[in-house]
Amino acid sequence: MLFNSIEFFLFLPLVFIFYWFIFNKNLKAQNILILTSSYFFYAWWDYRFLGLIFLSTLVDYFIGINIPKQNTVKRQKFLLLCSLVFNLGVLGLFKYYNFFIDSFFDLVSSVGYVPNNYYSLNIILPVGISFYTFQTMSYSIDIYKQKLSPTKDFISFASFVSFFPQLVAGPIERANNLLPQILSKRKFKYSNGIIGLRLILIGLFKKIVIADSLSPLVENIFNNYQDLGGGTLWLGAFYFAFQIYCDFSGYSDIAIGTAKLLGIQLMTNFNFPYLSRNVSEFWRRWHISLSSWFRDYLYIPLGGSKQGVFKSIRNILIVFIISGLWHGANWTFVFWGIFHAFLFIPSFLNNKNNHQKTKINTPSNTSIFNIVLIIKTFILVTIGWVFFRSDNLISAFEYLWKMIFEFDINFVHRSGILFCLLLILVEIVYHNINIKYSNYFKWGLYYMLLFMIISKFNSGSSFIYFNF
Amino acid sequence: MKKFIFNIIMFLIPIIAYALIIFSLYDQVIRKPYIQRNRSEHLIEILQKNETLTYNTFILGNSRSQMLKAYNFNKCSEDNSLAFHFDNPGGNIYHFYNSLNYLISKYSVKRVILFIDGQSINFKVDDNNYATNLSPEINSKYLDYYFSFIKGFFDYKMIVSILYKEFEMSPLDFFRGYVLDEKSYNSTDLITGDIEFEVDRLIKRDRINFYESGEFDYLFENKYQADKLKMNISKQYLHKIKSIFDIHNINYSIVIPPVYLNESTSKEQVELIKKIFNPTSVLDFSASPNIYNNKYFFKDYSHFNEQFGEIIFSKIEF
Repeated sequence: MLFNSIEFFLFLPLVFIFYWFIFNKNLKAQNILILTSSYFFYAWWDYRFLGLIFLSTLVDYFIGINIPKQNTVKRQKFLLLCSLVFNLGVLGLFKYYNFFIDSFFDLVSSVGYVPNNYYSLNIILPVGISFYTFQTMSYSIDIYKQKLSPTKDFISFASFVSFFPQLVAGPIERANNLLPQILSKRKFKYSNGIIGLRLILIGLFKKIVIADSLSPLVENIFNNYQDLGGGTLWLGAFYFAFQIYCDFSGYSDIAIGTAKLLGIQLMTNFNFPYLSRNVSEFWRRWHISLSSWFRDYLYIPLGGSKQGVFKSIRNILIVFIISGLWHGANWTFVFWGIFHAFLFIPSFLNNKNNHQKTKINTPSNTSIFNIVLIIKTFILVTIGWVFFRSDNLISAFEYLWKMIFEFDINFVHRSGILFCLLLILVEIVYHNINIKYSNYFKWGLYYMLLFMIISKFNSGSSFIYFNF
Repeated sequence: MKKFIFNIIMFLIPIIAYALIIFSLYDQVIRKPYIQRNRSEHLIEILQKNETLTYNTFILGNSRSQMLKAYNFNKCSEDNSLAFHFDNPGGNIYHFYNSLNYLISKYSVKRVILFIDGQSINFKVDDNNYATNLSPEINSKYLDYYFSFIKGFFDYKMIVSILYKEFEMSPLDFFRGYVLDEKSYNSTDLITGDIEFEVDRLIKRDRINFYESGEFDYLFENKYQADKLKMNISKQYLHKIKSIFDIHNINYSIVIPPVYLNESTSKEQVELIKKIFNPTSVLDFSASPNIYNNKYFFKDYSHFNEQFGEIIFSKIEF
């Protein structure tokens, strides 16, 4: 089920009513409701893959329980390895099998050897697989590292894995944040309810009004880049930067808002990423749940920045390549990761990624120097998005070539600029909503957003991150 | 919790009341000449009124199939059976498949003329656009269908456009495209489903003036860019349609029109169609420059006139 579908707007109030009015006295009943509604939510897309979530849940539930029971570290390590092999195996089979097989075939073909047979599979990518496998893996790793005690309550654990607001596109939750909330009694708070609804509204606005309006323009420009001038290609890249931000942060907003309605606090996933002053700051603001996951479960275990410059750079490259690959089984994503690594390394070498030294930029910080840095970072990130959006590397390089060396001012598809400006305006007003405005103004704004959402509503237009 | 529920209800009351008012005016609104009525709903209404008639031939298409007239088939009919033009604006193979299923559940279908081009071969489920959605009689999506009608009235441009029309004023360019202009007013034959637009009447009245005017040159300008073909899902639907033809022993013709003044139905698409369907039943006009470069076969850049429809009709075997 998609957040931007009519079905969801029937489903959510029903879950809300059952959750707070019928099962509110019994925590177990509430958790069973979360679990069944989460499975129902997922099955609406394809019930066949429910088995996969259930299996993933089962494996990590038993591994989680058994890790602390082992007498030796070797045995604990073995169980952790089982979890990693299972989760990465499932991910590898469904997401990367064809990519690696095809890439291998291309490689051996390029040196003159043509195999008689090679087996690529007709596999459907189960929605959300990259998200929930990372979530279950982090649970087992945290138990192994004794940062977390395993739960024996299978229903609660299964609810943690499949919690429907964040099941298919994150935020990728950590067990030590979400699981204790599922295990303890929730209480409805008026302020949480209002913030939750507000987040759902702004999320729908970003997705339906901005991202879905920019989507056909982006598609047209990227599909016909050979016939368009460099100026229009810049517009296409900027539009995509706005589209993917609105698409993904919109989803996260709706997810966080929906969870809030159920009394659960999910982690922040976006924090005005396009206001970053350098790429390392960008990665502390963009898809925070994923970048912090890679930091905690890959970068630091590899040695982080504590083993000298060479190894630190190697670790950064590994993290960004894997992060690129996480987004999709295509060399364009790998290259996007490498591109970001090369942008990240200079600021790392300048020690700019030190959290203590570089504070997160705030929207109110409008010094000229800051603005120049923000624009520079936005342009670099936008260039990176060209790799992300292109069908293949050749198209990406041709697109960039035309952008830079065949620039003209004959802009086609200018209508998208209005949507980008509209987003900026709404973000500014929304960011200050608790500070300045009267209730009449707030309600006026909500009605305006709702009218725009309904008039542009296109039930079932997919989210970009569902592909990852 | 009480305060929360109360505030939500207070907030939603105006929205729900407004939607209910729009919904209650449905029958009045769709009969306005400037509102583009949902075509498949209209055609089903006609078929239901004609339940005593025996239809066995159907033209399945979209706005780009309207040059082929069902009454040509009726003139050749040797018994009382009739042909019907079942088209849908923006119709694609998803619409054709569902419409075909609906029609075979109601009629003894003997012949189908199916229009497939570069645009309609691209699979697209209903996109919540009232004018191009399938009637819920066909796919049972009542909620989506009526929501798509109501949502139009949440767009201020639509409301302003209607006010312009009601007060008989000419809309500003900014508001164009939300309601029909006079040239797009149309009437539908209540037996065959054939549609006649004001522009068809204009061509009949003064053909030379119509084609030689600068205004037509503007209409003739190609602004279309084809979407990429999502091959797998399109293939699936083409196979599904073919299997219906085979199971029900339906005599079919696939027409590939030369749309948009150039070869917008790609070779890859034509090959796919010929591979799935019997090649002798495929009338391929996609590479016919004598047609797509001849403006006298068009009524605007993407729609052909009846003259070209006559050529298609002459090629269909009986």
